[in-house]
This record gives sequence, structure tokens and C-alpha cells, in this order.
Amino acid sequence: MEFNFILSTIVFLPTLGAIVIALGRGLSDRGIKLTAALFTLLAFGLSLSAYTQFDSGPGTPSFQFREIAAWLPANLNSQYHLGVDGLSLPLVVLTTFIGIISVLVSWGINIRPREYFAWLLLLETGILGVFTSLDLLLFFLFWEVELIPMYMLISIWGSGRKEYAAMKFVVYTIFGSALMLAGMLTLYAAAGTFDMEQLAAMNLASLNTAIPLAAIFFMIMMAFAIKLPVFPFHTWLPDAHTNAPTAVSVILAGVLLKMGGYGMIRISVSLFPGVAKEWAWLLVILAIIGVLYGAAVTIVQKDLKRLIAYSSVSHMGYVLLGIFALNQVSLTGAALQMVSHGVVTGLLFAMVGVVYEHNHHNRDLTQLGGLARQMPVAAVVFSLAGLASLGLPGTSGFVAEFLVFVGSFTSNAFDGIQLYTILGILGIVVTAGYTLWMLQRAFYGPPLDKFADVKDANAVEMIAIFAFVVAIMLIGIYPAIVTDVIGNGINPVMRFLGT
Amino acid sequence: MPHQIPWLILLLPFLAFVINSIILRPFFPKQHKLAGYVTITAIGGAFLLSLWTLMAVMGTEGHKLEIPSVHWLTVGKVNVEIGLLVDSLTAVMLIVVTLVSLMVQIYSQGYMRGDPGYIRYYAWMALFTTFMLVLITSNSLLFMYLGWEGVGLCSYLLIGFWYHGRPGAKPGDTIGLHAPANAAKKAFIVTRLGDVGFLLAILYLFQKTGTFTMDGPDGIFARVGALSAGAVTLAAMGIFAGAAGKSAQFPLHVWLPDAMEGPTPVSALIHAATMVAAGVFLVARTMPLFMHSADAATLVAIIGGFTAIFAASMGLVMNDIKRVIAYSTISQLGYMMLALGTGALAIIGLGKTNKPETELLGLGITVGIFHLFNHAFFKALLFLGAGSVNHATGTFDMRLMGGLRKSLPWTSTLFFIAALSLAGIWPLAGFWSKDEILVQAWEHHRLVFFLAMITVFMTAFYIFRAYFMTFGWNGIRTPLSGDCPCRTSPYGT
Repeated sequence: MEFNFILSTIVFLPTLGAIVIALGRGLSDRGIKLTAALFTLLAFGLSLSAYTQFDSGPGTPSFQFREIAAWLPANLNSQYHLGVDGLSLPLVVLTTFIGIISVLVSWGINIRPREYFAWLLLLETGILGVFTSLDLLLFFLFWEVELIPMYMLISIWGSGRKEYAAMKFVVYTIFGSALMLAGMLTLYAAAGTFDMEQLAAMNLASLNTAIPLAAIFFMIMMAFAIKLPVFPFHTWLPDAHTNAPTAVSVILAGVLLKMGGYGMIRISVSLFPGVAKEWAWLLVILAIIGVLYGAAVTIVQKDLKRLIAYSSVSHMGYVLLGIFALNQVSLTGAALQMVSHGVVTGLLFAMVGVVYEHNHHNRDLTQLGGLARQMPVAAVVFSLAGLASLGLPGTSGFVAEFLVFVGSFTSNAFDGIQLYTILGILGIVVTAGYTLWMLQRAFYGPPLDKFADVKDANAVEMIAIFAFVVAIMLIGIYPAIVTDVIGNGINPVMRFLGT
Repeated sequence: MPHQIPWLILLLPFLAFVINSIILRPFFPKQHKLAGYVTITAIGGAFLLSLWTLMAVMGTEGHKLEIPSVHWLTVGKVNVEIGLLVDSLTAVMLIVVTLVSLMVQIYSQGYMRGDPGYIRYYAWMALFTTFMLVLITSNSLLFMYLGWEGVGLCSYLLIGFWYHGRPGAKPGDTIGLHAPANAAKKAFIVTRLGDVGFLLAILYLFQKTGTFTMDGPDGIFARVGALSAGAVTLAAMGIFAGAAGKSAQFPLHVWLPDAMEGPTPVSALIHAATMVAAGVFLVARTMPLFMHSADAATLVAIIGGFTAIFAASMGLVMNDIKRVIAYSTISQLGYMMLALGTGALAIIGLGKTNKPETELLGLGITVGIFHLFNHAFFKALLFLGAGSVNHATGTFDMRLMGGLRKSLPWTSTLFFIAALSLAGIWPLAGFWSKDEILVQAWEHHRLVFFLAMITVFMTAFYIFRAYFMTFGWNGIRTPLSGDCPCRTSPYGT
């Protein structure tokens, strides 16, 4: 029997789980957690099976598992249109993976668990919807769906200045979304359709739009730039990360930021190839500033979580560099860097959660020290994640960054991009500096008496963190399992770019 | 010889690492001695296979083995093959690495006895050997970079082996408690600075030639002749930046003296015999680039010569015996670089000849690699001697030592032989290689020759200062503490 609704099932399984949790009055706290784990695990299993069924050979259609249904008045030309290609499928798998992990790292939540897990699962649906929508209106709806759970999760279960951080996150995102919606509607007014495939096939430059095409490009780009985040729109990120609960940090770093990078490739570059080429220089410069400035700011952080948050700004700079070097290798590298950063930084935040929970809620680097004695496993895994983050060969971080570098170094997007690439590569020295420094201050040095009773990661945490480790090493040692699929998604982009 | 053998050489130490870290460490923490046996067996096996490989290489036409490569990754135009290049250079390095590593592992059983991190130590030593072997056998710059960074990682882990503080450091001793972790971090970051140069050179060569493979009909070496002189110089300088980081050449030498914070056998393995040799090996391996660029070759020779004399002058005034040896290492590495630089100049000086490529290459690298080979053994011997002294006396400070010749006769004699060889006294190995270097320098770069000549005398001075302060004089008799695990490496001229 042909099963044609695999994508809808993956996207809405977490919602179903959220409904069951919210309405299942009889469920104990443990029952809630098990239900959440079950639904996210099902979604993960289904997405893996989609991944194995995906056909990435030469000459295969780019979008597969397509679902088209009418859902709004026909004259609006907007449809319920889902589909995945080599670009979005790895991100879908990543999202469902992070989904199950985020449930596992939330195992210790005992404040209002029913609401917590319901919001967490709803958040997963929002993100999955963004990666699978092929209709601008649908894309926008899912883009917004993710806001409410994020706001609730940060402001209720967060720590520190949680209300402030939640509000800042929402205001920044809404600002970007408003511009994006305006841009999309302007585009719709001229083109008459919301369908991404149809839009990509059209020559938008020949349309008679109300405002210049470049203006539409930047209006839509704004939402993605805030989400990625691109310097100078990154300031919401450290606040949101620092004050969010562990699972939300994992989701935020793991997949939420990737919505920005995904949107840039899927919409900004694919629909506006001409404008993207024209303005590549500006975005590459912003990328390099992000890489170097992000890394420099990371060095001076004292809060473990804030430190990793700023390192994300730096690493996302490589994604932006890879995208706007507009070269097949660099785009593949950028897509792989999104997956790799999702796993690596997801692990880093999960580890911060472990250290924080086990150390009397302490993550101030000036207070920590010598923890390798009490938490040997955590120390090893944290170090491994750190090494992947600094791009050590054999880990996923290296392959992704290396492809970005090769691609942008050989790119001819504009004159002088080699110079910017060299500046970007210098970032890896700074990355090594802050990563090793962080590890040293948390784990090395003499063991401290005040942490004498600290315990290592528990069994549930171990499952979560070792799942991450396996993913990092697997991609690092044999990246072809991901890059071959990504290639299927990047080839059409290269056709749009006319190379 | 089956072509799987070189792969097996890489695989054996890696298996030892996996067994130690994944099976022994979590499940049999009490059976720590097993970890040592596993590593020693694996590296011993790798050594025997290396001997076989050496004989096979010597018996092959052109001294090069054909080994099919493995496809790893294709993205657009980028096609990465992972292959091995086993020629006479690699074969000699295989022997150096596996033999020195084997001796160090055997010695470590005594030195590390009773250390709570015994299994961890052997796991990392095995991993270190693996990456070093990857580095010297790779035919792809990218795969080589894996070994290169891996060696950096392992040196980080092993220098910072006592990350909770030096053994015996008291609470409140802020230097002693943080020194190993600080030294490890410094080593990694400083060498990474050089690695950026290497990475850029890899990218640049890829942009120019479209491949990461070095040897072979479509490799970089075959295409280097078609590149402009400026391009070759840029690429060669990038590679030399990486080599200067790992081989502690001025101004990236600052990490090596601090790196003595690790256990002494680690110093012997990493900081005398193998890891620091990685930079020298890299320059030797990419000699086809340097012999197309007189500028780059001159740079290598001059930096090498300067490092040699500069580090020797530092060695004159150190009081810590391990630091004397460390500066001596930097100085001797300078010699090797100098030899390679003048070797490349020698090839350039020949101009266009009908000599086959391999013969030309041999001309450029033989002298430098000969010194590397000799240095690996006498320096490992010096470090292991220093380790024995430390075990016996509990200190590395030479001002507190003296008269140890009586109590440690074997260590004293072996240390003396190694010192003679380091100083270049006939008929020991050091004499032959230094002599060759000086002759080559005289012929191809006079300035460098004088730097090297002065360094010879300084070397003799500092190493015998160290010897006599430690073993000579009867004035201060150091009280002995602990036993003396005097295992020593074999020595040949």
C-alpha cells in the first residue's frame, strides 16, 4: 500500500502528542514524559525511514514525498503544499532527532510538566512545518506558530531575566516576520501565486513589482537574518539562550536558527538569484564580521551558556559565508554546517544543562573548576563537543567548515572573496582559544571541595548525549551519507544561479 | 607484499586505542596493566609490518609502492580520494615512529606505574601513534591534515595529562596546579596558528590544481611545474607555516619548552622523536614545491638556521634538565629545516638535468631526514634518561643534582653516549648527519653555514653542562628516592 502522507504525519505527530498530553487528565508526570518521548520517537523513526527512501541519484526529482491539497479559496492560489528535497530532508531528520533529545534532557522538569511538554511538542511541529512547506503562505504560518511556544517556554521555565529574554525574542522575530510578510505579499501581488516552485521557475526580474525586487529581497531576508542570526541582528540570541531552559536552548541552537539559513537558500537565493549575486559582497562581509566579532565576544564570556550562545553567532557566520559564496561546494558546506552545528551545539547546550543541574545550578566559569574528577563522562563528552565545534578533522564540524572554505575560496561570486575567506579561516584559531579555555576552566585544574558531592550524568542524560556523539562522529568520518542527499537539493539552486 | 599491509599498520594502533578506551577503561578499570600490553602488542606488530614494508619498498622499482586509494567524498568539483603514499621517505619514517613509540611504551610501564590515569595514558599514546602514522603515510593533503590535527589533539591531551595539577602539587601552589592544563592549551593554540597556514596552502593548491592528491599522474606534484613561481612560493610558505608550528621553528617555538609539563615518556615520544618531526616530514614530503621556489627554500634555510642558533643560546642558561633538552630539540629541528632548505637550493642549483625526479628528491631530503632519524633516537634516549633521573631524585632541577654517576651508572653512560651523538662527536651517528648538513650549507648558503657552525659549539657546551651538572661532581649528593625503571632504547650509529 502506498503511504502518501508521510510528511504530514511527521509534521503533526508532535501536535497529536501535545493534544494527548494536554487533554489526558489521567496521565501521571511520568506518563506525560513517556507520551512525549513516544510521539517524538515515532516522528524521528518516520523521518529516518523517509531519509532511507529518499532517492538522491542523478536525474531524480528534487522534491519528493509531495502532498498538495486545496485549503483556501482557489482564487488565492495558495495550497497546502508539502515536499522535501535534499536540502530540507536532513534538517527534518535533525529536527525530529533534536525533538526526542529535548524530551530526554527535560526529564527532570517537575514544574507544570503537562504544559511544558505540550508546548515543547507544538514547537517541534512549527519547525518541521517550516522545513517542509513549499507554499509561501504556509511557510509563513509555520514560521509564526513557533513563536508562542518559545515565548511560554522561556518566560515560564527559564531562569534569570526570563521575561525580558522572552519578550526580546518575540519582538525581534515579529519585526522580521512583519517585513517578510510584506515582502511576500508584494511579490504575490505581482506574480499571482504563493507556490515556491512556480515562483522559482518564473523570472522574477521581468515582473512589474510595486517596489524594486532588491527591496523585496531584503524585506524577506531581514526575517532570516534575524533568525540565523546575522551581525548586527544577533543580540536577542545570547539573552534567549542564557535564560531559556536546557531543552529550549538545545532546540534553539539545534534547529531554530537553521530556519534562517534554510530560508536564505530556499527563498532568498532560489527565488532571487540575480539580486543575491548582486548583493553577495555585502552579506559575505557581514558573515566575516559575524565570524570574527562573534568569536571575539565569546572569549570574554563568563557564563557557560552565554559563551556557547556567542559561539553560535560565530559559527552561523560560516553558514552565511557558504550561502553567499554562491558556489555548489560552499552551499553544500553551508547546508552541512547547519546540520553539524545543530548536533554539535545541541550537544554543548545539553552538556551545559548536565553541568548546571548537577552543580547546584552553577554555570559561572569563574566559580567552576576541576570537575573532570567528579564528572569524568561529562568531561569527555563536553571535550568532544568542543573539539567538534573547533573543527577537528574526524568530526562533523571539520567537514562542514572545510567545504565552506573550499567553496568560498574557489568561488567567483565577486572579486576579493578569497581575502574574506582567509579572514574567516583565521576565526578557527580564536575558536580553538575559547573552546579550550572554557574546557580548562570548567573541568581542569584542582578539584574543588565545594563540588565534592557532584554526580556524573545520569542514565537518561547518557542516552541523549551519546546519541549526539554518534551523530557527530558518523558525519565526521563518512560525510557522504549526508552530502549525497544535500547535493540533490543544491543542484536546482545552482541551476537558478545559472552556473 | 599485499597492499593492505600499510593500512594494517595504521589500523593496529587504532585498534589498541579503541580497545583501551571503549572496553578496558569503562569495563575493566582494575585490569590496568592490560592496557599497556595491548598498546605494546599493537605497536610492536606495527613495527614488524613497517620492517616488512621497508624491505618491500627497497625491493621495488622506483622505491614506491602502488596502493589503491579509497573514495571518500564528492561534492560538485571536489573529489576527495584517500590514498597512501609509501615511498622510501615514508618507509624510513614508519620505522622511526613505530620503533621509538614501541620503546617509549615499554619504558612507560615503569614510569606510569600506579598512576590513576594509566589506561587513559595508553589509550592516548596509541591514538597519538595512529595519527602520526596517518600523517606520514597519506597521499592526500586532506587526509594528512587529519593526521596533522590529530597529532595536535593528542599532544594537547598528553601534555595536559595531569590536568588536575602536577603530581604532588600542594593546594595553594597555583602554578603547579594549573601548569599542565595551561601548557596543553598553549601548545594547541600556537600550533593551530601555523595550521591555518597549512590549511590555506591546501585550499590554494586545490584552487590552482583541482586536487588534494600529492603524488600520481594527476597529483599536485605532477602539476606544480605548470604553476607560476609566485603561486608555488605562496603555497610553499603556507606549508612551511604549518611545519614551523609543529616543528617549533621561530617564532612559533614558544609552546615546546612549556610542553615538558606532560609525563616524561610523552616528552620523549612527542617532543623529541615524532610529533615535532611532523613539520620536518611535511617539508620533505612537499619538497617538489620547494624545489620550484628558490625564495621559499631560502626562507626555510634561514628560519632553520636562526632557530638552531637561537634555541641553542636559550639552552645554555636553563636549569631544568628537561628544558635544556627541549631547547636542544628546537635547535636540532632548526638543523633539519636548514638541511631541507639547502637541499632544495641544491636541486635548484642543478638547473635542468635529465636526472629522474626521485633521484633529485632524494638529493634534497636525504640529509635532513638522516638527521631526523638520528635525532629521534638520541633525543628519545636523553629524555628517557632524564625521566630516570627524575624518578630517582624527584626533581628536574639540575642545581639540586650532582654526582649521580655513582648511583645511576647505566643511565649516566647512556646519557653520555646520547650527549656525544648530539654534540656530533665521531664516530656516533650525530657526527655523520651534522657533517653532511654543514657541507651542504657551505655549498649552497654561506650565511646559514656560519649560523650552523656556531651552533655546533654551543650544542656541545650546553649538553655537557647538563651532563656534568647532573651526573658529574661529587659535591652535592642527591638523596635517591624511588626506584629506577631504567629501560632504554637501543642505539645504533
